[in-house]
Amino acid sequence: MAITMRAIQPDMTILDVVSRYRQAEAVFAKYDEKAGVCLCCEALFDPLHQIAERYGLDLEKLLADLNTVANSDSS
Amino acid sequence: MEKELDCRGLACPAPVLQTKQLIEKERPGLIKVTVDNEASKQNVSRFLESQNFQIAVEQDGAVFHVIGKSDQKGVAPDAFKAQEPDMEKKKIVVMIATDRMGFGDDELGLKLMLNFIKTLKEMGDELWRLIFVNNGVKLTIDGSQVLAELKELEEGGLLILVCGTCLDHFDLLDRKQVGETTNMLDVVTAMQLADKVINI
Repeated sequence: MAITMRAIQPDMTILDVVSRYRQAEAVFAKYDEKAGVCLCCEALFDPLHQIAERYGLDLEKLLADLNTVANSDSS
Repeated sequence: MEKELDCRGLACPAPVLQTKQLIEKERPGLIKVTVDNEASKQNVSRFLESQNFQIAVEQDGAVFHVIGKSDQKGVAPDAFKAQEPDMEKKKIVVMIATDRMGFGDDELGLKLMLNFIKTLKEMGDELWRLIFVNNGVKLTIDGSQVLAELKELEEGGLLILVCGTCLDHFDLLDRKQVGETTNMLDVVTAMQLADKVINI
């Protein structure tokens, strides 16, 4: 059975993510409206799990979206 | 070695990413990043601080010049001093972890804490960061008896940091009226860079 390692983990900050995967910026922009703030402006240094909790976002969905971008970026 | 980055017209996270890239590639002793929005100013400053740069911000209308200095050899100290004469001042962090001062009588403790906040301005420019954690975050929300004083300090240039985890724990995220919601990395970085940390 193949084990898939998720590139994006909940304890990574937005800065960690966008500095490795620039296309992830578009994913965060997609979540701005739901969060009610510009996430890259207001929460750049915060871990994803904390951001999801603070702004009422679905962490698993966010991680899945980010990992899709990360995987396509590295393929 | 001095480096300049012109990030006008760029929104976050681009200014921080460009700054990060430049630092990782060249590690300049002195860096000046020009931005034209508040979020970029704050984020570039926070990033440079996390990289152990001393920060000064100059404002020119709607444009901000974030100047960072590191201890790297080869930088003439006077070059930075000329741009930021306040660098020699002490940096004092006050961390408030309660809404009462001392133990024994809560009513007296509240009075003392209110008086303490009102008197903080006597520290002048050396008061560098005011951090609220645990029950202390309740002093930053609506209804706080020291909100006006805290806003005055913030308007005077003091960076007030309010623990996001604590606000969330008490379900007070929407009620914060002053300061920036922060995380433990910022708290630890502020303590590391400060000349003195006062815990209340």
